Amino acid sequence: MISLFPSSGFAIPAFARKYDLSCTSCHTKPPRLNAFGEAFHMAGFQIPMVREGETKKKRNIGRVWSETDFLNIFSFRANGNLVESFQGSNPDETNLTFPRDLEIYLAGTYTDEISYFIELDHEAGAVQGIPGGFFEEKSEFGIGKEFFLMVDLQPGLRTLFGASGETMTEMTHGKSGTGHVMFMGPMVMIGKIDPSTNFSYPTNRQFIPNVPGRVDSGIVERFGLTPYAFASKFFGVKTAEGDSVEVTREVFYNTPGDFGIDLHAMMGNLLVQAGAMQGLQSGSRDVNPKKDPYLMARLNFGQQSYTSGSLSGLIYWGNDTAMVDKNLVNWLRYGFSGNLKYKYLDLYSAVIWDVIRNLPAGISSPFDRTANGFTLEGDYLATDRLLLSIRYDQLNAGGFISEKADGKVIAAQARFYMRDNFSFYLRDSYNLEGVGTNALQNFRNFVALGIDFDL
Amino acid sequence: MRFKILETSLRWASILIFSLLFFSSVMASGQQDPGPMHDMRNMEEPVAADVATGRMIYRMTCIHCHGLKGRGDGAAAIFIGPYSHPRPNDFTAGIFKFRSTESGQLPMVKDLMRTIREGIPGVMPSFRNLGEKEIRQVALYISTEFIRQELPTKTTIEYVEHVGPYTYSVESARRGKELYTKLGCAACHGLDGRGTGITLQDVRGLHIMPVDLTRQETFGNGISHEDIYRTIMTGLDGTPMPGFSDQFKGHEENAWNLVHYILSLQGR
Ligand code: HEC
Ligand code: HEC
Repeated sequence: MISLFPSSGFAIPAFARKYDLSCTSCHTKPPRLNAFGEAFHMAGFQIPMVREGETKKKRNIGRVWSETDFLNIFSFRANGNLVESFQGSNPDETNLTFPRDLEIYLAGTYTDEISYFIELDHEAGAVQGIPGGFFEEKSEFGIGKEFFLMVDLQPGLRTLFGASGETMTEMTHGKSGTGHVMFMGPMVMIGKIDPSTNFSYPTNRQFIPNVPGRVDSGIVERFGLTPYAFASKFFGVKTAEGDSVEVTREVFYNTPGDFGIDLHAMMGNLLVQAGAMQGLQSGSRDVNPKKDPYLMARLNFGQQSYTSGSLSGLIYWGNDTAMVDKNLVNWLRYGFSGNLKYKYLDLYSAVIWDVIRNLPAGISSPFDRTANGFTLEGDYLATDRLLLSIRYDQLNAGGFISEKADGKVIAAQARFYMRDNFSFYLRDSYNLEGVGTNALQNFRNFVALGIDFDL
Repeated sequence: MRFKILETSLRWASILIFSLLFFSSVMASGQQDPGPMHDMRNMEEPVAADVATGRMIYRMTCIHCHGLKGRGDGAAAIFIGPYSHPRPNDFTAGIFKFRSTESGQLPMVKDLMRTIREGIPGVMPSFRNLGEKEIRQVALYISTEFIRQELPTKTTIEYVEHVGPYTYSVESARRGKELYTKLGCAACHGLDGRGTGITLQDVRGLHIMPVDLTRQETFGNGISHEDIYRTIMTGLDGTPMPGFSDQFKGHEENAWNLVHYILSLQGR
């Protein structure tokens, strides 16, 4: 029973090559970012304050593999694992897919102000909703979880206001900031984006990988395992086009990548972010003319005594973004997340509420319009080779009351690093809610042995 | 109905917390050490203005590794050398690896600037594109705010130029090899320069390995002929790598012989 499946998140060894840095300059361990990595991402894949433009050669002449510029923008990632799911003492789930997920990245800076990120991936056996309340497992090759352009608007704004604007002239070279508050951005991201990279709990950056669900003849037998805070949470809700949505699927702002436009800027310790997404799993299809706007604010603290952290708040307005029976509905999502890093310990948590609004009277059966989810992960680098992680997920589901069920899962994982870019892990997810017939509860233990590899 | 009340109150709670987040941070950023920034307006002295700009650059980018107070305890610092050397050093302790001054002395401003400009392969990015003026400003900030001592402006080490009789020759590299054993380099770096596998500790008690001299990409203090000359003369304070300037006083050609031997180990 071997299956290769996606563990989300990105380590971009191309950046490490370009700047001649080890992965751990930006990552606690890939794909988690440390404080400097967050600043690097925030600055549009550049060292803050340093305008790098296209790849420039440093004094790294000794590294043969740094010589070619192409390697400075190219990365590759593969994951695999051996999974067993237990009801009682006998495994009841087997599948062999190789490879399940392969990712290729091109990422870099095009000019001083424009950076790009392109990911191509091959994913086998991803669970997809289809019309009629059914699901299927599909293999896909194409544009991956994210691809976008990021543009720093600050130089443009400066030219625009520089001549007359008081505050703008106070900025020294525009790189640094106003008289009192340091300023970075605004930056705009356009394409298939993961806006939650700036959230205190970035959906894509955790050590315990997502597990795809299992589908049999159009019916989900077991939902995927994801951080429940970010899940869609409602049983029986469909996309605006009528496709089913997996209850544990990460959606909206917290998707691992969907189409939208995003603006973010940083003033002192405050990051503000505003943007709009296409809507619930609508991809690049323009099915939702109203779009779904969102707002996020994040406050950073720390930066001494090996401590840093942040608190974030999110509001997302889904407009005609989903369907209940045949009615388009609005969907409000809001919540908080926090992160605390102290020495080798990294704690992050999120609580997200979801509310289906303007639900017409007289739908087919009783429906719970509210749902919420809570996720808490802690990682501890016990030695320079061993990373221990634990995650708790709780889902208080909404949707059709006859279909719905709640979930409580605790996952523990040990990850052993052969090198920074090559690790093995052993993981177990344990169903605290008790085994049930509902696809959310249809397992007792989920054990996985996996490999993660970046080049 | 009950849901509606719950929903409304939750929404208001989140709006409230949102605004609190917003205002507290705006207030906090307004209050952030108004000191040097305010002074900047009134003071004519260019140094104060330079330090103020340096502070701003530091807080935008260096702070994540070097920490708010320059103690090398930024949140990212511990993961650069998890459980081992190197890690950003404590500027306030006054121990610097990369100097052109004698072992035990503070670096000169131009030494700090070189480190910032070139970066340190593997652990600290090059800040060359910051610009020379800004590099100087942030170096001045580090010295006035964290080191808080007068930095030396000259050094007693003789930097003999790599010209004429001091240029590379096979004979010079051969003499360098003799010196290499005589001066005890082999005890740490091994007879072939590849290291001995011995475990040493830096000044903070972190595990450190002598550099593999055949692999220039692992050098932190630069790989040009002049860089290696400087490393051998000054040593790397805070690590077991000693300075050898005393041995070479008046015989600087011997230091060049050693440099040539190391270059020959790297096949260049
Ligand atoms: C990604 C982390 C990182 C960032 C960002 C960073 N540094 Fe460093 N820096 C280090 C590390 C690690 C060391 C110690 C390296 C060693 O001991 O080999 C260091 C060492 C130094 C040293 C002392 C070297 C010595 O002689 O011992 C200076 C000076 C310095 N950094 C200045 C700066 C300045 C100024 C900035 C910002 C413009 C900066 N650094 C940004 C990681 C960083
Ligand atoms: C007591 C042990 C010791 C002795 C003796 C010693 N070294 Fe080192 N050397 C080290 C260590 C440890 C490092 C690594 C320092 C670091 O990583 O910052 C080092 C680093 C170096 C470097 C690389 C510096 C850089 O840029 O990172 C050179 C070159 C070097 N040594 C040359 C020599 C030569 C030549 C001699 C003899 C004259 C010598 N060493 C003697 C321990 C020693």
